[in-house]
Amino acid sequence: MKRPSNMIRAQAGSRREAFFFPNAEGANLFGIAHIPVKDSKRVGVILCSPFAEEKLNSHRVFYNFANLLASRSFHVLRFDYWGTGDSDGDFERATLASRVQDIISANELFKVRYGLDIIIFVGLRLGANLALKAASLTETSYCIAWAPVIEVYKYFFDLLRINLSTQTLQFKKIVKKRGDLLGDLKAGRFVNIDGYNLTWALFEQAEEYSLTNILNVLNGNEGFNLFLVDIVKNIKRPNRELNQFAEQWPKTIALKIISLPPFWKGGIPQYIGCPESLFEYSLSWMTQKLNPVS
Amino acid sequence: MDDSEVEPCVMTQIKRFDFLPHEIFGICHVPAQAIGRTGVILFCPGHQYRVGPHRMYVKLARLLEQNGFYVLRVDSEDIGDSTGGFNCQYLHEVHGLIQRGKFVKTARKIIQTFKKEYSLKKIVVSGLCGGSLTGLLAARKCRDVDAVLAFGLPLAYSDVSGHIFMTNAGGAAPKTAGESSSSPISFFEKVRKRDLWKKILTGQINIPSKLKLLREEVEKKLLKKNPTINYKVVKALVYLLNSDRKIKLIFSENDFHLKNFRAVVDSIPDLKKSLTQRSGCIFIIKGANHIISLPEWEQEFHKIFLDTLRFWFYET
Repeated sequence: MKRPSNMIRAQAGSRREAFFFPNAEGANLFGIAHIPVKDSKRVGVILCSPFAEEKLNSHRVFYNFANLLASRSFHVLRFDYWGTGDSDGDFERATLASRVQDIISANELFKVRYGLDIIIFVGLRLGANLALKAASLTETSYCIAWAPVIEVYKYFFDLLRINLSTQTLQFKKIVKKRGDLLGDLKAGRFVNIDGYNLTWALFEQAEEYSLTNILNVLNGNEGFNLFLVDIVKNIKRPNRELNQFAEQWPKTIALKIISLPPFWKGGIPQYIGCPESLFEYSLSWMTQKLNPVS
Repeated sequence: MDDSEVEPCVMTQIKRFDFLPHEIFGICHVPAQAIGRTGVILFCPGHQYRVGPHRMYVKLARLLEQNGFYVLRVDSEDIGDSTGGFNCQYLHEVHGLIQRGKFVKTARKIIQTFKKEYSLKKIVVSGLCGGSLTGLLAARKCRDVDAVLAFGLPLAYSDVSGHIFMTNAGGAAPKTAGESSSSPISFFEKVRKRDLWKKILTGQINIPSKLKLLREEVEKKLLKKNPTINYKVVKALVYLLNSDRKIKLIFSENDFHLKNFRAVVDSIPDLKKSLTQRSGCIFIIKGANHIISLPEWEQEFHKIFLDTLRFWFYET
């Protein structure tokens, strides 16, 4: 087995600009643009982060992918949603809708600032759902979804399990079950998940962001192209739902199944900074789609 | 959109340090009203970047900034937005490198540059887990550091019982520092195993790093030392405790690093004595976990952090 390099040695082909820029509310968002030195394409890629600790765990993967893309003449923007990372705001006050608005703000800034003709959204996990939602609200025709969340409500509901394990540590028993925690959320209280405060607003908006609902809207957009990447432990056991989407909309969706440890999760023993197969397939899809226009 | 619309936020400055061959990235929080000129550097926690788990560093930096302190949250090389990259397959290898002081050289440069650039009079190094370790080791070698405020300081190696030397191929977690000496592992038995050679020949094992580990292990055995204890950090800690530098160690009650810390203190008389002489330098957040995730734990953490800084620099 080849040892992973965990780094992209192509930084010489690009430079970086870090800055704060305003979102729709005028608050500061933090962004880093990777700019190719040899600018042969007017194509920009916006990387959309996943949720909570998944963002922290996948930061270096985004960094390395941005470096790789910039070395292949793509402009790349990585940014933090309001209430996350180095951006202004508090996590508990941000919603799914505010995150989508932030992608739209980033899109506008990126296009104008660097004079780009085409923007591609790339998102990981919940970031993929947000990217697709933002694509449905803008003229974005190209999206890459890495291991998107199929049912967002279920995703948030599953996160509540983390609170149960913290309760076990704190009280030596479970004081509130998941049903009780949902009650707390509905009553306007926060539920703490490894230090992040979940709110009822996230659950309320979840249905709108489920993959089926977003894809139903996007499938009506003429010329929309989606590269769906199913990241699984065992390649022989792919995600059925993602396969169904690809079969249902073959003209719009290209599906690739990749075997990789879930690098966005904490607690996995591997260090994954540069998932080469994921990068290669994504880059290859972009190049193939954009060839007629570049 | 013109450039005026993307001006950096006034109070939060993006910092880039060109320490060749690396470009180091950080965010500096500049107080609107600085009380004195004290700067706090938060080194990144282990392999995680300058934001920290649940934005712990961002929340802490905002609090300190509001209270008149300069704060720098910084990514070491190979982490976050700084250049480089680890050539490691497993996280425990990454943590092992950090615990052996991989970032100390860069940390010293960061300390000196930060102090000079903002004309700071006092420097405090801090961080969670690996960040506190980097700060502590840098403080040992750098006179520019006036105080160390470490939280969740690890005194045991994460990778000494790494998968290559372990009895089960799956890689169980290392034992507590105090427990491990009773069951030394025979490396020579491992070397005879076919699986190990298969891994070496197929490139699954980073041979130089494993040889380094083996050498350290053999040295420790010859010196009759406990192989899991990070003596480099222990020595630095003893040195700082016996110096005029200010030091505070914050632990979470349910953190395995506290369990390790107690075991190490019990086994090293010099450390125990030094800690006894500096009464009050340890603070334990009751019930808290390693990442201080609940709001009540975080509030207590913020309070002790801020109170300590005020006591050190503005009330004495």
